[in-house]
Amino acid sequence: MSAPLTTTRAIGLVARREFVTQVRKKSFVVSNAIVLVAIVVGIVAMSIFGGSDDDRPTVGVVAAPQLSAALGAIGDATGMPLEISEVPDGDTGRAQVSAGELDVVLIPREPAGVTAVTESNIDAGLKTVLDAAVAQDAQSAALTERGVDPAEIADATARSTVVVEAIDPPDPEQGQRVVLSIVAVVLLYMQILMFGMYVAMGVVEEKSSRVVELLLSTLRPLQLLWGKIIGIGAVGLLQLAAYGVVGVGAALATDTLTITGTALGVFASTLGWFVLGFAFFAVLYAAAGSMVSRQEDVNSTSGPLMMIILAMFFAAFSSVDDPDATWSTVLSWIPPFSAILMPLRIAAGVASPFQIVGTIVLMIVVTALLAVVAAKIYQRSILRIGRTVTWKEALGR
Amino acid sequence: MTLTLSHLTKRYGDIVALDDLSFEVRPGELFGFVGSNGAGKTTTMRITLGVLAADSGEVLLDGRPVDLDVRRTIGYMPEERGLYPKMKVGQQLSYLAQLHGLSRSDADGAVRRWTERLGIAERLGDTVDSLSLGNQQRVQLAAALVHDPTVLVLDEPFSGLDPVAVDVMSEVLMEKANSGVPVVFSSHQLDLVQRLCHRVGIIAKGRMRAVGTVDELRSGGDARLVVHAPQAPPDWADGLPGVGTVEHTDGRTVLSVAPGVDDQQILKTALETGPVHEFSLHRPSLADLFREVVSA
Repeated sequence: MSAPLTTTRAIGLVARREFVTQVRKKSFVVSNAIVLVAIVVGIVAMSIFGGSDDDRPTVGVVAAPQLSAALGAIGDATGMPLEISEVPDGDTGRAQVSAGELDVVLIPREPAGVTAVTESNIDAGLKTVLDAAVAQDAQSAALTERGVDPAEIADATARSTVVVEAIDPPDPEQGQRVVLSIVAVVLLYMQILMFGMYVAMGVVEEKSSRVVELLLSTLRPLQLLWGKIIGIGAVGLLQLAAYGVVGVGAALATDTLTITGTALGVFASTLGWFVLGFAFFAVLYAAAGSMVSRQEDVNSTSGPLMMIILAMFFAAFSSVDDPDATWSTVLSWIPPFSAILMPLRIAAGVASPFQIVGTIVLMIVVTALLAVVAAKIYQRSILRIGRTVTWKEALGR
Repeated sequence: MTLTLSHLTKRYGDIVALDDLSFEVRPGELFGFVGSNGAGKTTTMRITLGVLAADSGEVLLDGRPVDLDVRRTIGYMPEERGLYPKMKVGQQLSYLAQLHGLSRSDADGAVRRWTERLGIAERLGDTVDSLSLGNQQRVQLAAALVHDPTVLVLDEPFSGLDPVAVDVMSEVLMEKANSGVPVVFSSHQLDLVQRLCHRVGIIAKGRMRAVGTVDELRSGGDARLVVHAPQAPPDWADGLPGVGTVEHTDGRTVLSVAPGVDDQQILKTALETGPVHEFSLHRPSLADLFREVVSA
């Protein structure tokens, strides 16, 4: 009844087992459900509390409608919109300030000027707005007294504005891009570390339970190795995609994110770079797993890999602020650092198409070379039960 | 199908694990593979299954070298029992059967058949680590049988089995052999090997010391002859060719008799000394032979 098994079917069988075993785990299902709910709740909460008008300074004005108008106009023009309310008298205003309902209350003073009452002190920016408004108000009043049409004054002030011409204008998407980059970096770091570790633990499980001897009587070691990596990697990709779809979806729906194109681009590049980064580390994790005989010993051989991933993570975090720095540009060419720095650069919008293609090709080439070495270690170590094989022994001739 | 192991040699550093080891297992034959711990049984079986590579020599099936496709048709029970502890019995056996090249539906059918046969059908939905040791062994045997193997290679299949499971295992092995499959298994239970096997190979220090049917082997070793001739002197048998005196007490002599010696000649010599009350020939058991071979 036995029939020849093609390599595709052999790898497919192993991969399917890995995939099904992983996604059926109760812990996997529960933890992912929690994470997905947390993502949605977090984004919705951010859109409700984050973008609200709560941080506008509140200013109360006692009986001076013209001053109120001037305050509103200048506040808007200087980028400090104010919440302005009419207050019936000075005492009410003072009471509201001490109750924390108002930041400042302006009470007209005789013969001219106003008193600004506040809790302890006034923000310098707000003070400037107040000064300008009071001065303008006084000016208008004086001019009106001398028979100038108030509409004329308003017209003249409105036209005399400063137009800013920036040589290097700030990117209005900057804030969202930074958030996207950070999310991509953190997700990539977690996914690569976690699923790399799953590969190592899966290899040790087969070795410590001795089932590997039965498997290797029907499979080539490389078929087993790649089946495992593909199966576990597919789970990692699925999980990442689920986080991405839910996260980006919720953020776009709640208008927390407004740069749809960039968000989708970052999402796609994160998935793509996960595949490359995972493949790079998975072959190494498989080799690390094959070198030990007990689950407790996995850390002794996979430790160096974790150090590299941590280094990648910190490099990425340091370059979030200035992704175009020379050191970060150079590092982003070097596998495996490219796996986490490139999605960051794509998110920041500083990666050229040439660099994207170049780093992908470089990463694939290095991963392929590494896979050959790792497979050799795996083949050499997988049946050596007992003492942990060191990296030096595994790589030596 | 005939399984042939031809001039296998394997070294681990300075240690010679197998030294020019050869034997064959013919169609329908139950071949018992016996030897002390560390004699090379497991190494031999691992090489047969391609899990280990031999330094030299080859494994042939019907005269053709065993490659991976041929190897998939072999049923194997490794000495180190191994299954995925957290995987359900049914899924696990089906998976292994598919790795041996069965389609999904064939695999599921075979799993049902063999688990019923081995009395673990109601455990299909349980994980392996929740089973008793004996039931785990049955699952392991099922794993060796699900793909309807053309050759069976079993390393210590009887170790750790309760008497009922030993009977089931013996029955299955004989049935497989009767259907024309060459079956080779190793065991320390020599009485079982003597009872079940058509032929036996005794391995010591990586070399095959004796191969043959149990009868051939037994007749090949020195037999024990007990003679009770009260009036015979202690050295009465010393002149006879191929005969040695093992002990002599109170007119009772135990002789070792080489193969091919005419026992009637010994009786005649004994009668010449006076009356003979007992004259009994004891063929060596497999255990006796084993001790003899291993100590040689």
